[in-house]
Amino acid sequence: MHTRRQFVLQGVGAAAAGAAALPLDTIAQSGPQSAPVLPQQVLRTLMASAEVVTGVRPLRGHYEAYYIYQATQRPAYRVLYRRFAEALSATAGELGLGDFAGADVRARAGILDNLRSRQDFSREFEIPVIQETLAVFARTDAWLALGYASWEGSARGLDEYRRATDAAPR
Amino acid sequence: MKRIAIVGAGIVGTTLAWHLVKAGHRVDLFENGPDIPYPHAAQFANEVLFANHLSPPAQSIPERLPADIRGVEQSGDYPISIDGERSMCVGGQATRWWGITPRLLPSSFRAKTVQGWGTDWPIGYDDLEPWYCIAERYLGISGSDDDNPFAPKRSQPYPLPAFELGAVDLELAQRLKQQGLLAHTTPQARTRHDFDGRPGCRNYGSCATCPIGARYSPNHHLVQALATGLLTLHTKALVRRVIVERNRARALLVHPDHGAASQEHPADIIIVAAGGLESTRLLLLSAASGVHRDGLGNASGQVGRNLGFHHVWRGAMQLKTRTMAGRAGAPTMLSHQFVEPASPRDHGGFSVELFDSVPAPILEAAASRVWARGAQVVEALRPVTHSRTITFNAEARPGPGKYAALSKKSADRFGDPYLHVHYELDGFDHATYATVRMLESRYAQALGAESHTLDPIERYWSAHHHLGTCRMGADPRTSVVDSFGAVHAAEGVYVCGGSTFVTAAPLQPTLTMVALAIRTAARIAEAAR
Repeated sequence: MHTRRQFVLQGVGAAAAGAAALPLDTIAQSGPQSAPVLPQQVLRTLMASAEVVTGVRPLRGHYEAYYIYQATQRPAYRVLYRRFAEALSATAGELGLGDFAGADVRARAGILDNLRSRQDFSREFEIPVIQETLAVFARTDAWLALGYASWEGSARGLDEYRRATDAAPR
Repeated sequence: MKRIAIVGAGIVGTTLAWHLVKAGHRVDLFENGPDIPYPHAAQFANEVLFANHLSPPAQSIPERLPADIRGVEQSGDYPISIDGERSMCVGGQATRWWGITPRLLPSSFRAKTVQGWGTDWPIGYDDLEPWYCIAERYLGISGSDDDNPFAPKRSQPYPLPAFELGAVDLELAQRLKQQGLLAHTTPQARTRHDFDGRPGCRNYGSCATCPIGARYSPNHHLVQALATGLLTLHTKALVRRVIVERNRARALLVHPDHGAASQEHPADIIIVAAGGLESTRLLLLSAASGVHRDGLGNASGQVGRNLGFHHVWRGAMQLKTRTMAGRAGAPTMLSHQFVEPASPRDHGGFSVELFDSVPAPILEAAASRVWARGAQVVEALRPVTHSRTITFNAEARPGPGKYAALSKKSADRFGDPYLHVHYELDGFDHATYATVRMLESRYAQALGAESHTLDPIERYWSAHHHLGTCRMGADPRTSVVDSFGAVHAAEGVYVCGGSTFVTAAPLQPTLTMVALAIRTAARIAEAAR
């Protein structure tokens, strides 16, 4: 029998296993000689933004894996993500908050909501960054919020679905 | 030793290849599409792990063949692109399937005798039963007939125990039983525990794309066959013609890498196993003199006729019960109670799937919105926790509105006409749907559904099962091949796969296709010594 935590960890493990397999072996930030597909600062900003829109804190690694996957599959996403991070950091800087990723969540939410209300920002980033992040959320953490022990795509084992739903974690 | 060539590296082609190689024969296997990584972790990453309706994978797996190689035309009322139903790659469509593997019933082989329509198969269930046992072991089927009173008799148990019904399955099954509706486990080519070098299932919940090989993929045996050194795999090799000379197999006309240059690949035995549609096209393109002037094996005029899809309609129910749908995601509860309606009858039978999967309409509705925050997404998905999917998998009857023929309008890069598929529902299908709709209401009532929906009749799906276009028979005047797939009046030429089915019973065809392929391989292995 597994605990909920074990299931979640298995899920993360599965995601990591999937991430380690092709095509992620070609996109991984690893490889001492190769430049990372996304700079650490960009990733930090994406994750800090994802925390705001999903409401999940702290985020697990599957969001980061998704951003890396996209940046590897489509080079245009590297540019997009960089510009997104720059826009957020610039606004944070103007407000005297320093780094967007380092700001508290309320401040980040304020910045993001303000930017999302602007047409130029929204046109460029709403679908490929914000809504895609929420799509990742919709097939992962949203299921935990609904009371599931894990989500499709993780190695859930063959015990949990045979438990009564009343016994299922909420 | 005879030179053996197989066209098509899907589940039937690889099954033939593996068994022939195992018997010591050298085999050349030609596949129009590319090879793909196995186990299918990369496919899984694309289609499950990082699947995103807003951003489809930049590189699909398999890579899509150019339109002027893979083209197909369609007309009629089939609402889905048939082009997208042919997975042209090593492993074929069985690199992406659910692995549901029931046997056909004895009556499935005797449509004319039992039902009064169609044609009887030239073989019966008892002829195929030993081959079903071998096929079940070959594919690693997990199953049990203990809870399925509708299962045909078997001489050997399933090689692996069944995947148990879930807690919610059992609760719902009990309610259904009180209303006279019986449900049981699902036989599936998915490993209940480690088996034959494949790991046991870990419930990733996405059987159609399995990252670890627990759900059977043809690539599993292909890797082993290649390791013997007896099998040569030719990928991206377009076979344009089967060449016969004096009614005997002589060679394949092949374009490596889809290029302009062609070469003849000599063969004494040629097996066409390219799926119900591509096999048809190849036979029609391979017209020769004499009895084959209208297409290889087409003296009867039957090549391309008798096309049968399965007709799948999907429904969704909202129940009072907390179901937590999707905890297994994979096939769980099934019913074969209505596969064999009382005879004589004017409508088709169907199987009923009550799998523990999330109803697509809920996901589609959630995906169609633009969200501000994750909390809204959670609320949109909340109906999932009390939902249940119900799917009807119905049989079709051959008829004049269901056929495949060479196009008169369009051609591929070599000037060969595409296949034109015409498919339209007939009165029999409408009668089947009326029965399905009635029964769907009965299920919903028995389960205490607060609301329920069913696809309209016009939104049917073939389940990628394209059957009957090169049907088998004892009489060359009314069939294309014999029960071993040997093409009438073309020594050394065979057709294998669902295209040789005589009728499309309302049960998934893959196990039967594999059993027939193993039977054919045994015949060829013996004859080719």
